[in-house]
Amino acid sequence: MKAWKGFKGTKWKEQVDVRDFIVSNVTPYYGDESFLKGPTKRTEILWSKVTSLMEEEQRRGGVLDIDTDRVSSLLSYEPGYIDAVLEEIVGLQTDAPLKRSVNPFGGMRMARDACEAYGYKLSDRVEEQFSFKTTHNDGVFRVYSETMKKLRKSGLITGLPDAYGRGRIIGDYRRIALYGIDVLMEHKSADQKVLSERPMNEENIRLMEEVFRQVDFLGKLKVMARAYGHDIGRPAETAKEAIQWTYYGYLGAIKEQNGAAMSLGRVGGFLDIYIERDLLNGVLSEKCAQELIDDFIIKLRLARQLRTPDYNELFAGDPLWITEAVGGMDLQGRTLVTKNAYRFLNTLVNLGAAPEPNLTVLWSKGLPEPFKAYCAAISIRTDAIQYENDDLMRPTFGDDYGIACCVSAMRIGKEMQFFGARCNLPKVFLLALNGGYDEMTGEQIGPQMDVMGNRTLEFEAVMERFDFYTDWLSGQYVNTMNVIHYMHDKYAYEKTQMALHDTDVHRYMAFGIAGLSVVVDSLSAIKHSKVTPVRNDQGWIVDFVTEGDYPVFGNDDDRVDQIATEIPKSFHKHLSKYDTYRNAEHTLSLLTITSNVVYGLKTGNTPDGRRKGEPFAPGANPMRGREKNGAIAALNSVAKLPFSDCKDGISCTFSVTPGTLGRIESDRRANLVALLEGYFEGGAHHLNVNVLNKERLIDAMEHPEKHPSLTIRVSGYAVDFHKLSKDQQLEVIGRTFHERV
Amino acid sequence: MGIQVHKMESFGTLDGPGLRGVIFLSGCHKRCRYCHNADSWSLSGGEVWSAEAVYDWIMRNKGYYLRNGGITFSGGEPLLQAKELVGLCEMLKKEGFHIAIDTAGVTLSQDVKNLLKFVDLVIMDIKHVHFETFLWLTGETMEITLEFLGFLMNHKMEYWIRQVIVEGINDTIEQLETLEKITHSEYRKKIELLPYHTMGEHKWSADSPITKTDADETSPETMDHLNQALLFFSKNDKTNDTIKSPIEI
Repeated sequence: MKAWKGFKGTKWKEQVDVRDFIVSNVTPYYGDESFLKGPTKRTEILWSKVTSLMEEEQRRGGVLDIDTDRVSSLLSYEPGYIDAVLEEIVGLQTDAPLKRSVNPFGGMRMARDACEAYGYKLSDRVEEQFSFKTTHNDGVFRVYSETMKKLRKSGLITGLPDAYGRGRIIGDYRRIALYGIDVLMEHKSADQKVLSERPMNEENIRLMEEVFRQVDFLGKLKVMARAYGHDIGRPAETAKEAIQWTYYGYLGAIKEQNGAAMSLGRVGGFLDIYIERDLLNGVLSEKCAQELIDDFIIKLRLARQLRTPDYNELFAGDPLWITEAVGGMDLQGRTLVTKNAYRFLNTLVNLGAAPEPNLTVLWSKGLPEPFKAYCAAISIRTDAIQYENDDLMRPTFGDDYGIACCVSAMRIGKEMQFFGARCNLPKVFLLALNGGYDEMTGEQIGPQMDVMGNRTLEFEAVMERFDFYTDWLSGQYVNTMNVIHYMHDKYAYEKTQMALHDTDVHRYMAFGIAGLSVVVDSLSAIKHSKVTPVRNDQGWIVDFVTEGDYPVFGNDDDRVDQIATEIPKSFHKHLSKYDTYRNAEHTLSLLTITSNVVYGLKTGNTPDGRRKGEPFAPGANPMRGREKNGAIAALNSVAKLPFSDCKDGISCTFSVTPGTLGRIESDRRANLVALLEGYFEGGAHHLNVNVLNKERLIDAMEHPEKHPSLTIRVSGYAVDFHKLSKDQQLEVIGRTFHERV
Repeated sequence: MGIQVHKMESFGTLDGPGLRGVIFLSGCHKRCRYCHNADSWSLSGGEVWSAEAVYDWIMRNKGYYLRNGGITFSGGEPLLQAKELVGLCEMLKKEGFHIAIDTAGVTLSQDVKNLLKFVDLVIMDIKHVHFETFLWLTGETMEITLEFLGFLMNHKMEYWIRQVIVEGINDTIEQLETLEKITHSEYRKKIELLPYHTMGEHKWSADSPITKTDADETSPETMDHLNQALLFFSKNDKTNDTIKSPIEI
């Protein structure tokens, strides 16, 4: 067969096994970036068309156009082009670039509000069509208990995917290129046959219906591609087809689903195999290879979903988390860095810095040294990439995992997760002290107890109380998640993406904590100094008087860092006691996205001196300005947080001025590599790296036109700085910039 | 007996090669008129750390420093506490750390000689190349500095030369050429010129025994000019790779 000519290995030919195909055929690359090519004239012209559209989008308040008449799906739109003559890789979500479609399967209100926010009105046709449909959001609210509604409203648990697509599922889009849709359908039919022999219990019936829908959408995917003139029923025969076929899979997914994070997975190394074959056969040049990758990336940069302003407050900057994992090692200790790893990073040079796709370097001590240096150079230049510890994840997730969203690892095509946003831990802490009452409203939410201590708070008593409420919240949190994901499966099932998974998948249920460092410092204050609650007229604790010094998180001080490691451990233990929908495995993340600002707004004064309404630190970061012992001490504190209890990821954002990294560029690169090496060797999981001066951000806030493509890593993803709200910009500027005077 | 520490910097990238832990020690006899660390003059002004405590602090950050960096003892004047540093540096050498001393070369006592056995790089600050101005500028004579430099050359120890450039004091091409000449040897790996800045002004106390220079911050143009000259001096010198690239600030 022409498609597989020259490819080695057998196992992947007999069954769907992309990982085996990769390790059998990959060409690791140990050299440096000198082979890379700049953009072609064609790429420059095409990209300039796209950038002017993007500028127009900004001028129109963030949305260029909305099609309010049609509901997004694989076949709702005729083919769309930027410039049909120039495009190497084709396919748009709608019939025109940056035109957004509506996707009301998550919930009608969200779709309606989003249209209205930008001056549009959802058409009567869609309204009528959905008046006969149950959305995911309808389903959830049919079942939510009073307590769940209160938890949600008060902001104890926020950002739950109960009114929008849950996302965080990565289809194995590579399967389309390697096998073609027809073969994938045959495998699914075989699975159906096996399932039909099993006892017809609820679980099996549900799965059988899901597989039916998967097959249905594989068929639709084929039709979608045919409209662009391609037969993806057969496997890809060239590098260009492999990229195109893979992209069709992703395109189908984002047409069908408006999930919060729609990651791409780990396609670079896979596609490199096709490029290598074409280069060897003399049918492709390096210049053309880069051109294809540039074109693919342009498509990804055009991906959009229609969101409401509320949603943007939580997840600022219009992100899609088109996360692509780059680099890493295989299980035999060989690097998976290929020339394509360089080509993908090189798009940040050829097309300029941009937040999407969310390029994520899987860092290992074993990565080729030139690649480490190149990553550092790209970080310094663009502030657009993040790093995650492959040596830490590989033992759990193998060597063919991707990153969903910011930091969530999962085996591609074999594992998925039920996304669970995060709980506001400082608020849980205040609820505990107040005996179940919300400190902001006085409403009773949790089990009722006495408001704690008239006098100084005692550490042991506070811990016992906090533990009780954490346990209570864990039970509520698991139950809430069960409801959400039951309904999402029922009313907004990801047909396209799940068709590109094994039929039997492993499921994670991913819980989260926001505001860890606030709680940790508060507990440290109670333990090491004197904290006296201040009550209001109704008797609620509304403030604290803290006297004396106490160690704070972010200074490599075990007296407080130990509290920081204990909290996620015990939270994870509590969560694990409660049964999950579809027996998903409980995991936990320390990640906030940009919601640390909104969470802060909903939370009263805390004993660490944080005032009511002030933002939390992002992710697992220490609170800003409290890292008194310098950058490395701060990173050491974060590195102590236990990945074994936080397998959904521990996010840390790090900003340093160029001058602090070194006097000259080559020093800066070498020092950034040393920093990453030291951090990850210490067992840390994730690092967002920004190398910039605060003055540049302040100038960009005042004169956005002077910094059109200023990109900055915030918390597990990057944003165009000018797409952040004023509050979020100020919060980013207020973060610690490590510098030496 | 402990080590008088002025401050610790865990993320040092400017005092020696690579990423380094920098321990600034208290105490300096010099009274340089452009000093930007006047608060580190007093030998009893710092915090007393035991050698073990300093060692533990370094070991916590070990993974960061072993790759391309190491540990630098700076000051103040670290050689004033040479005796206290010997044991510590011996322990650090066993762990494989690259050790640098950032000094003005103020003494060649037996303790200093013992210490230098464990040192990989000496970063030497030659304050000025004229004897009289050196004395006026620092309050001490220049002889011992030159003797120290000679010792490094004789013992084949690698060293960098550093100088803070203050306009009107040591910013001429002739002075730079002299500096290049008197410090020249195959063991010199770099000359670093640093611009004088005024950020340390607040650290000067009102009753200081000497008057501070009223010079302005050294301009980027002056630095550029001198660095270009430095390149010119060294272009025929095959021994010093590192000074061939201009120094960005």
